[in-house]
Amino acid sequence: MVKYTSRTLDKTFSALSDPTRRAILARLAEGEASVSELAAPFAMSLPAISKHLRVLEQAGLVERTRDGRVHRLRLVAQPLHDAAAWIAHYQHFWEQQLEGLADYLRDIHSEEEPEEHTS
Amino acid sequence: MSIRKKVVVRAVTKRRVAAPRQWVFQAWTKAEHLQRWFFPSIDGEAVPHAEVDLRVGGRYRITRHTPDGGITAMVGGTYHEVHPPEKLVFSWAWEAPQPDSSETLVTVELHDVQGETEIIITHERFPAQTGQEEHTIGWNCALERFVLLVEEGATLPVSALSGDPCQS
Repeated sequence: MVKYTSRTLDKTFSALSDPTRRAILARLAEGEASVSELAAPFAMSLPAISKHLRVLEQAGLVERTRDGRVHRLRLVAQPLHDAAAWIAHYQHFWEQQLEGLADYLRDIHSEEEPEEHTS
Repeated sequence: MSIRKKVVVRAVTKRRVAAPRQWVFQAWTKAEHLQRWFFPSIDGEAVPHAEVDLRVGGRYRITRHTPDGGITAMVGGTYHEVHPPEKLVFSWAWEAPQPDSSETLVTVELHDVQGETEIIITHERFPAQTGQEEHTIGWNCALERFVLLVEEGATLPVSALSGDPCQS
């Protein structure tokens, strides 16, 4: 019923919980970049940026290629799609559930009063 | 509870129903009601089975099965908060057909609106790691924007997703 693997999604959501990492992803959505290009807009050391990049790589959101000594990074979109799909899936699921609940409440209303005094 | 501070993403669903809160709360918390609406009735399937132990720390489980007893879907969890008739918080994990590897959290809020009830369901995930900064706002719009960004190859400023993702 739920086809998204929870563990992968946990990693994605966890990686996305940090504003610096979201900004890095937003930059990479415009195209590939080197580590120093990514670091430029932030008041952060390269090691600090590298730490964020490792989290993004482990979550599968970023891929690294080496061109000589320069590391270039690019965005991998699939985990974001999966995360958005999880949200859409549950929104749809609960919409359906509430539709069923609304119908049920209408039915019992037309039958008779519910057993309020049993609570 | 600290567990709720780790939340990073949520699916929110709202719906108004023409019934008082007490009825709606009972529909959510009494097994004989739950099994009549929670899983849509499919021809050839037996009536779903619900078990409810309505107290903080008590468990619920709802099972859909075929007439010969085969289970087609099963979901269960533990009640974290029980405030009749306005709020219910419970953990959530599918056990069948595909077990979840971790639990999520569902909050059901019931608001009285002139004798009718507005139901707000918030379904949240916990991240795998702890020690993250708290960040609970606006994940729906952030992710939608991200996907849009990626799909359209649009050029957005670097700051587009660094602040409150739902602003601007």
